[in-house]
Amino acid sequence: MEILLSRCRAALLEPGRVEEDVDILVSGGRIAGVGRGLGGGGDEIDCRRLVAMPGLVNAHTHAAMWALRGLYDRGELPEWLRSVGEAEEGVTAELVYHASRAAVAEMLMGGVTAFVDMYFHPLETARAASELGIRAYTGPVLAGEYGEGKAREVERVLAGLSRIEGVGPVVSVHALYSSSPELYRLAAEAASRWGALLATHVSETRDEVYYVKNLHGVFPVELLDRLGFLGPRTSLVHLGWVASWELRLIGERGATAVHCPSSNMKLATGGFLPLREMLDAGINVALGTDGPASNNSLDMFREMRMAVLLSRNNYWHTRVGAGDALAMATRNGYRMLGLRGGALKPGYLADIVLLDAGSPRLRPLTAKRAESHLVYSACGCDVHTVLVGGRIVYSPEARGALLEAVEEAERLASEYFG
Amino acid sequence: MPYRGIRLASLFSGGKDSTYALHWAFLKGFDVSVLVALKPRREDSWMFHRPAVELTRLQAEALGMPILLRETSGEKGAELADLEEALREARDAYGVYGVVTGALLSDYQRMNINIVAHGLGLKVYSPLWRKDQEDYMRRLVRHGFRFIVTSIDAYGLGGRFLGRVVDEKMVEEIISRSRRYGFNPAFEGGEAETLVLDAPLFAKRLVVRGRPLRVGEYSWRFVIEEARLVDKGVGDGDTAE
Repeated sequence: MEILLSRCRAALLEPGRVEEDVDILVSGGRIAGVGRGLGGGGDEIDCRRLVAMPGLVNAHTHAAMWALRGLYDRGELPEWLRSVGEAEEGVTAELVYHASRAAVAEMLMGGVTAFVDMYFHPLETARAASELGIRAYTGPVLAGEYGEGKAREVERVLAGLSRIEGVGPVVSVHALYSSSPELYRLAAEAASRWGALLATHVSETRDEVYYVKNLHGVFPVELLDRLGFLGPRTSLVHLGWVASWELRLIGERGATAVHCPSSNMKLATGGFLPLREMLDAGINVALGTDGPASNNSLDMFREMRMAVLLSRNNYWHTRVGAGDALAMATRNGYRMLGLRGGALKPGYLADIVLLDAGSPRLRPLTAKRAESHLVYSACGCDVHTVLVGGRIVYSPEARGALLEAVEEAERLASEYFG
Repeated sequence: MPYRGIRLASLFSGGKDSTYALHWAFLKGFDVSVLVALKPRREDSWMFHRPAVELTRLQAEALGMPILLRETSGEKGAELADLEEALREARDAYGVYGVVTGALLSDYQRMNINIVAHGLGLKVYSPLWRKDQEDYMRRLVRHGFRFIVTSIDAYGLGGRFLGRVVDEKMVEEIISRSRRYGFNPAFEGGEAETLVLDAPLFAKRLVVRGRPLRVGEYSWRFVIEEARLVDKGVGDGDTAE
């Protein structure tokens, strides 16, 4: 199936490259051409009042925590985890399914084309994502002590995921302070066998660094390396308290660092993800919102802006800019997933976001200002249409159906938590 | 009741970094209640700046602040225990919530201070951490910090940098040499130690007299023979050439 996105008012082809009045031809789920005067035999979207950009990857979230949004906004991470943990005791598969649908709807409406999830009942989140057409990466989440039952559960979930269309596997371990080292070995082994991604929260707080150093005599990332957890398919989430010598380790292993600035600030973790040093060292840094109960937004436009602002404030320097944020949210996210996406170039996945060029937040609109607007001024609410793999998954016409998913989830969440 | 900020202790060496961090804390609205200084007995202390640390009492007087000055063996491990003891004392005597440090780039220093502080339930603020060192050096001079270099252990920095107040011209020379010879322009790698003579929050300024002493092929010390506080704006000739 072909779609021609004709005469885009502006198109961010990749960070640092914006063109005006440009056509984008989509064919077979990929971008077939970018230029002027392209023809196509299929559908056409008139993009004269739209701005095109690559799809956004939310590299770390807990989608179903949508149901918990706004319930616990106080307390640093340990206290927050306790409060949320108590509420989660009653979470059912049904709630996870519906809350995931709502979160996916929200993400699609905000230009997210792929996300990586970590939560209970991953098959429910996978089902919700698959139905709504977003690219989802989810899978078993390990915590606590090792047990045969856990190993069997990992296999069951990964086998179940392999039967759900459009979903990729990721094996997650919650964190070093909540999970035994054996679970990290189990996860690495299972991920290798199933071709899955690996993910864990790490070096999020000073408490964690203190705990790990006292127990194991090394810093968290060093310990992960000892456990065989670091590799090119591994994402390390947070890293606000990472030490400089651990950066070298991350770079050498080719792991991805996932930055979640809003969540870190909201939970007062007081860390400092050394973004500039990571980018300079060639580390792949992706961007995530974290869950809707700790951010509390799933809006990647806000997150891009926050990443730049936090970094500039921490460094007292403007070296990190809009282009870096866009690269993290697009190209680097796709790189983490092992997909050829995150740019509007021939051969790349047709995961494309179209924003309303009529929005006052995107104006005055010229090629040289567009990149700045996307990071510093736009929000998810400016998204008009979203394509994933060349298929339209969000448009003004689809809005009603997505909002119905939100209504249903809200009804359930209120029943559960008031 | 007048506003009082969150109470902090300043881990203070009397050099440019801890003094700048102390100013940052005041500007951020913290109530820096006490200076904590550790005076290493060993010459090659790996965590704290030894030269000129004795002068911190005079600097504390210039700042009008109490100081907890403690000796440390300077030996690995024991030094952390000494730090823990000093911070515990600051916490118990002054009710501080955290500590502000001048750590610039050394994660060894930053993480170890954090681990000790965590055990005491204290937060750590390291405002200079990972800041651009060249910018920082220029900013220091521009913001009215007057400091001298008191020791040098680096190829590319000669004895003529010792004992003279670092001005804009000297900062540019240090930066240019740091690029050429590969040392850190703000000396975070221990290439040099500094002593602050005057700063915006000093009520008086320090005047020192001393002489340079070469102690190795690339190592120099500024031997301070006399130090006193004078009113700001009085006299000149901070140091003997």
